Amino acid sequence: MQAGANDAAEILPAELTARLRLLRLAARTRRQGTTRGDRRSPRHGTSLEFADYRSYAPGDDPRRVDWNQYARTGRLFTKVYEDEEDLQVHLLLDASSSMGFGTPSKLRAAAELAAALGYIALNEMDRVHLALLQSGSTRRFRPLRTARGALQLSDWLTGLAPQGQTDISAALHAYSAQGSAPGLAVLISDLLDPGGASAGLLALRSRGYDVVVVHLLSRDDLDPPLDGELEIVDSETRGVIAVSVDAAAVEAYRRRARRWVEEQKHLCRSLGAPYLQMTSGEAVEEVVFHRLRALRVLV
Amino acid sequence: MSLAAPAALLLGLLAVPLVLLYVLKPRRVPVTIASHLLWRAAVQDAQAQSPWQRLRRNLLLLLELLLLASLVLALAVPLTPAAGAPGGDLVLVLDTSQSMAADDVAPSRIERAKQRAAEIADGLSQGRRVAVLAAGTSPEIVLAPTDEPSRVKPALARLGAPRGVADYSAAAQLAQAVAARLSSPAIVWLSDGGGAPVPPEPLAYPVRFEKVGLQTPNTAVTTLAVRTGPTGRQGWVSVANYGPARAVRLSIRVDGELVDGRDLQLEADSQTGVELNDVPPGRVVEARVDAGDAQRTDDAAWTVVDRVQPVRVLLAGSPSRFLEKALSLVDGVQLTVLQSGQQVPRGHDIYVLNGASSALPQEGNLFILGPADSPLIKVTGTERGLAVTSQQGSHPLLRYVDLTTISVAQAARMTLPGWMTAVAFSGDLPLLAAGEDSTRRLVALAFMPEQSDLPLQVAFPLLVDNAVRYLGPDAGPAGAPLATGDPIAVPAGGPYTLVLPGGRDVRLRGPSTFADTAVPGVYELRGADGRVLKRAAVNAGNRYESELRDSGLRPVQSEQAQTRPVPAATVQRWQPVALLALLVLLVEWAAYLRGRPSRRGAAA
Repeated sequence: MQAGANDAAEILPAELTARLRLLRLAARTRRQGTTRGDRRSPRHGTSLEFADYRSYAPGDDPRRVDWNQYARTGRLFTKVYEDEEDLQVHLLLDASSSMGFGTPSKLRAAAELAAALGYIALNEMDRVHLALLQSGSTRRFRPLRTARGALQLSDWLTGLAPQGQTDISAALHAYSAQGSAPGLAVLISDLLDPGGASAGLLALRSRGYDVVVVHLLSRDDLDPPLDGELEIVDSETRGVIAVSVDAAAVEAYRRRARRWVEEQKHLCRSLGAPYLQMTSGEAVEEVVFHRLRALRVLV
Repeated sequence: MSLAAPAALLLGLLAVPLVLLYVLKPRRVPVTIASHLLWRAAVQDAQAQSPWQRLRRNLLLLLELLLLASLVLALAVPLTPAAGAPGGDLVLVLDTSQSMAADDVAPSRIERAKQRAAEIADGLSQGRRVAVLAAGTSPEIVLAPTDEPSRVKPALARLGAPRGVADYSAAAQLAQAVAARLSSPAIVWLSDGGGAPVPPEPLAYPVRFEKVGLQTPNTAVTTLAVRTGPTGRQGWVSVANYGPARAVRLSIRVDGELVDGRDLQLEADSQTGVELNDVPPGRVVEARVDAGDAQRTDDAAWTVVDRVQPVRVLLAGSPSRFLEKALSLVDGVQLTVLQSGQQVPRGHDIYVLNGASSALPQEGNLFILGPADSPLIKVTGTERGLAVTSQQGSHPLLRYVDLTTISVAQAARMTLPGWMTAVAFSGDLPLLAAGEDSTRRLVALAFMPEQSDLPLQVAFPLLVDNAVRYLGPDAGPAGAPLATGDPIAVPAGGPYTLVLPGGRDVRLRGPSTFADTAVPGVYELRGADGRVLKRAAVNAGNRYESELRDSGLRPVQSEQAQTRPVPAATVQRWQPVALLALLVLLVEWAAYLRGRPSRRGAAA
């Protein structure tokens, strides 16, 4: 049975939001933001965060000359400071029909995780872009930046419903080509796409995105509770295949699923994208406070 | 090991639909899942669209077949020899009467009884002795007491086909006599509970009755008689139905040619008589019903309607008009009266010697009336004013004959040889005797007819007729069928060939009898030149043995014998087999649960 993301009243409990304020997203590479924010920019600026020295040049602000260095070396060095800018955080949610399976549904778990990451980003004054991947295209929401945007984000995420087929690569291609400022792209998907996600992820990387892949599966995806003579229907294509499911068939499926997960993990590593495999029944707190921190996606 | 209910093995055929259930594909249940992506790679079912699937090695199927086999075996009730039972010596009594030929239990009642007897013998304790008796028309010892149980099976194999009417009383007497020679004997009686309704005397030894056979209905031709009357040949057929009402077709054949057919509606447990008029001429008449029941040997009966050859009788000695007249009235007799002074010629079947004669013929059977002293019969004097005080009514000479009303003026005092039996007495003086030595039969009447009022009695022509039948080459009334097991008399001389109903022939010499008449039908005795000398019809149907249902006839044991019951020599072993079936069921359930994917919830 499929379920949407609104099968719980509140997508982010209040006690969780208080704890999320302690976290911040770590940009893997310095990005040029659009407005000043709390993120270090590749441009050296005027913040108080020391970055490096360079030789003094006429015209430099004399207040930035390091006189201690001059006393020790007899040469003039000017302190260079980080210029702090906001981070572009792209939350890319797979909302195809296959995401409606699981208990709770994968889409619900994806929404909770996206809400948590969005809240963390907005709390750090980062710019949050939410996009839904459905049927080879993306449904984009307007960017959010302020902490109040977290409420809007929660509203959007609460009302999601799974529909359509998945074509992750086409959707990511389309997203990367729409001209948004690159930043940290968090893809939350079950990756159950016959075409695979490698082309789309490569497109994001080539456009300068830092990509984090959260591979979200239900327990049924890994260990199907099926038995007997069945006609299994694909939720997206509505295609039917007849199978005789017995213990041997289920074991073969489990082996295949484990190998497939390893393949996805290897793909992400080869693209330099942190990979996290989670199941829909996993607590968001566990994922956010432990597993994403372990991957240094959150600090 | 043997089986108490081998018919239950037929339930093993359920294995066929069981395997078919695995070969036939069940209707598939549609289930919607997230994606085919992983299933396509994991499962390939090339035969998904076919109604049949290849029979794979399937643990559940194997367990179910094992379960079925266990249940079927348990229902068949396996029997194994019991250790040390019975504790004493054993007398096995097998009913070998006609009804034991029924095949309502496979392969037949007699074979089942033999199997049980062998099982019981196998279960005997070391050193115990066993004897085997056959309880047929005349009981006989098949195996004398022996401490070698291995000899029981060969002895049982020598038993002929079932025949005749069981005589429980005689068999009980013989079993009692045999048991008396054994140590702590017990008697096991294997029978279908049917036979002549003569309750046996209580046995002084423990006895266990094991019933063989089922409560099976049967239809039989119990009587077929044809006689020639003033209006031609009339016949009478009696069809007995021992069971529920049914319809049968009665066919009448003369010398193999169908001459009449009747559809009979037989009421339940009834006898139905059919009168046949104008039976066409011929030698053998056959009546047959298409009963198709468990006892096929009694579905037909035969009778011989013409005598093959006349009985050549020579009357010699004192002239007797009574005797001459009585002999001439006997059907089938070619009478020659020897005038006084003539030499006794050869070539007669029966020599009737009236009055004292010192010269006895060297061949043929003899009917001597008022004998003189001779090497055959010693005469020590005469007695006067006698009456018959007792007679042996069952002897064929006295069939329908009552001699107790006659008066005898004078009779010879006969001293009989050991091979002759007196059948009528005046006090202890034998007046009528009969017997057979190694070469001939002899009937001796102690007086001539004229020395008594016998010729004036209705008993006289009957006695003469019986004597001719007894002494003639064709023993028994003309055309009167024999029962299975009855002997066929073979006249002196030979060699003869007896052609049995199945076509098999046996070489014989006479005088003798042929007793292996278990197969019903017409037996033909042929001379050396191939000429048919005699025909005898042997029929299986009779009121006691055609009733296949248990008539309740049982051997009984006396009061003192009842204190020691006979333990069973075999033990039913269905319980461990049923336990095995239960274990297999549990293993199958565990295998099913193990092979079934865990269900954390409904398929998405």
